Amino acid sequence: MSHEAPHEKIDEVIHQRVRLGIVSSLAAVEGLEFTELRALLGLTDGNLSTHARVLEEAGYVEIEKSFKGRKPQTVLRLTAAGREAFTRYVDTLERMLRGGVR
Amino acid sequence: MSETEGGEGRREGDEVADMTPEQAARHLRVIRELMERPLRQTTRSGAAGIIAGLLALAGAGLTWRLTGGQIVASTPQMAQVGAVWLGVLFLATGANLLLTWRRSRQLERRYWGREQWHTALAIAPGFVLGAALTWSLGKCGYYSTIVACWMIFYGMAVWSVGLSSPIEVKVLGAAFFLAAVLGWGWIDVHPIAALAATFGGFHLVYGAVVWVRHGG
Repeated sequence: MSHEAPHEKIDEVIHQRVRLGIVSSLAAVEGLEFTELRALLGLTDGNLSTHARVLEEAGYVEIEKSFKGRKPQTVLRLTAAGREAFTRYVDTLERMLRGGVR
Repeated sequence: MSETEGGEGRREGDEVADMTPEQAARHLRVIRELMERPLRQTTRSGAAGIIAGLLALAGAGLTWRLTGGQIVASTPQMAQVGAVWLGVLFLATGANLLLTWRRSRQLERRYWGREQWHTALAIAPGFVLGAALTWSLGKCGYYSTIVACWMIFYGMAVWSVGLSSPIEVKVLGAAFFLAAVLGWGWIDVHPIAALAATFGGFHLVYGAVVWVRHGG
């Protein structure tokens, strides 16, 4: 019987500091505008774009671009896979906390 | 949390493998804080709270006029009093929906989404149980007890909404609940004053605080 080490259970796409910030912020709401998320996390446009793209490529976040009147609007949302991965990540941390992941 | 993107000596996996329970706890605290942050940017409207308070005060005034300040089993105007408070509930709910919609537009947030469904589902048990108990108490003639029952179930519903909302909502729910428990005997004797003080006064204070901290 094989035993997974903690680092094998941790999702490294989510674990990175900025990406964890993005996923955690999106987890409690339906979606956030790019500008809202940037302000919440205190990031630059470039930094947020880079990490949002990584999450999008992993299938964890969907990025919807539209126009509100004449103003372009970008909304980020967690996908079902993203929510599931986030729940798994938090669950793994909780088990680490209880010393259950060995 | 991991700062590295790989290729700079230590890899992410190495850091995770070294993670202690204390670090895991710190991660969880940060995650919780990050999850709460967008909720503080609430679409809840301070003006809606103030309008609900004013409507409740008007309702209490009308109730006083209809009953002469006495809500007892033999009061013949109880159907009218019920209609007054149903009107207060509908008008306050309508104002709340309208002003929340306006706030959503101002903040460029979706009006009806997951957050609003959570709110509706959180409110439902308190309102349904409160309505059922009101019906039973009314049928038995215990009119003065209905007010304390409204306070408890309304407080319960608001508290449930507060679990996924800014702290002011949770405090409002707790205030109703505590007022009902602490003032149990007094409310039975002075139900109209209790309605004015809680549904009127509490909402006015809540609305003012939300207005100052989050906006109208």
